[in-house]
Amino acid sequence: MENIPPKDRPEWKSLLNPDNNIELNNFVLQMKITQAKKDIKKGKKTIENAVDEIYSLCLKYALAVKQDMDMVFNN
Amino acid sequence: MESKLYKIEVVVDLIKQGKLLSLAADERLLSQLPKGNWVAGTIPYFMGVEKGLFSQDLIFVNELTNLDNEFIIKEYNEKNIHEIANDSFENGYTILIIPPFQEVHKDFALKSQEIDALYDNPILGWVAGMDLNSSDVPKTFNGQTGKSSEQNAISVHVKLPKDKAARLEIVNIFKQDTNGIEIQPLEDGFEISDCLINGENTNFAKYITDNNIDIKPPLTTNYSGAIINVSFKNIDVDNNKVELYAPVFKDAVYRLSIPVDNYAADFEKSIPKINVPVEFACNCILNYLYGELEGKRIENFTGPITFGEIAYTLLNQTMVYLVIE
Repeated sequence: MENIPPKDRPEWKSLLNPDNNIELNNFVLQMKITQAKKDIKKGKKTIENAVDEIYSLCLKYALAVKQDMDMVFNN
Repeated sequence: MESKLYKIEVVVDLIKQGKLLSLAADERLLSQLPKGNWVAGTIPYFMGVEKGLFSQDLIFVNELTNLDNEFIIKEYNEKNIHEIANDSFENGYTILIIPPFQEVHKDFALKSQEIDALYDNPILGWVAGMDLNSSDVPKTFNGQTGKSSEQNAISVHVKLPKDKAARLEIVNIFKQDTNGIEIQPLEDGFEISDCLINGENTNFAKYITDNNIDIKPPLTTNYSGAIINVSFKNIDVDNNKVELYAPVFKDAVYRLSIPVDNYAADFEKSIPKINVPVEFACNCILNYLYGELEGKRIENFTGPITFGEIAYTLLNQTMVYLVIE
């Protein structure tokens, strides 16, 4: 999908930084990122695994997350 | 087909035609329906096309988009509810109806966020209910067996073609009081006794009573911008605990919310413009009661008025809806 930036962009990991309190618009992305942060903190998931999952989710909902992608990646 | 209230004769015809249906109605109507491709929960409160209303004579019908003609109707209890996301199709959505205050309700509410692949497809639905002025018992119905249950949740997993995606959204009219107190529960659960308020150990029930806090607006927590509500059920002053309709979690920070003056008007303002039909929607009984939505209309978002909403997890005082794009 053309509006989903590549997975190696640093913004993906930055999204999962516990100190990053960015407010997103898409509901499933909001839920997924919050849960991923908790899972990383508890050691249930690596940041790389979490990025993979969030990237896949954004590919599936490319249209719905466009506004958030534009905000996160400063498009 | 328009999602709205229908007479039982119409619903029987739809079932006989083999339509895939999600239904909501009083138990006395649901128990008369023939077997077929339907799931249902009991409730007599609705947001109809013209207004919010109480009815024990009509059945709310959502005909589900079933473009691939592939679906699975399955019951869940506390032993298998964790399988729900893995049971869904690679691309599709799941509607889930849960009976209140049963083990499956508590288990889903407390552990949904541990479910494998939870966010791969929308999982949405509602908590069944009953006439608040009755001793009726909320139930779910499995249309394929024709049986009802007080304990089991019922779901329908629907497959979608690859070029379609189901998207779940919520409308929450409550805003966090970000200038107010921060509440940190000390454990996960449906009640709060002692907690941290602004970092200090405090009994929450005593705090609410001493400060005369209005408990109609919910507690809220912020999930990366999504405001998730937890409604107050009761302040048990004798036992120094606050009872809730959904769980709180010790790793989250909660805030009180700002009271709403006009629910119907605020819903109208909060509802996004969408250019596809709403596949399914439900709204909370507390919004209906506190917001006096009976007789008031919320355009384009018809559906059951419920004892809890499901949008991947259990929510309160929230409208949930699904669109297929």
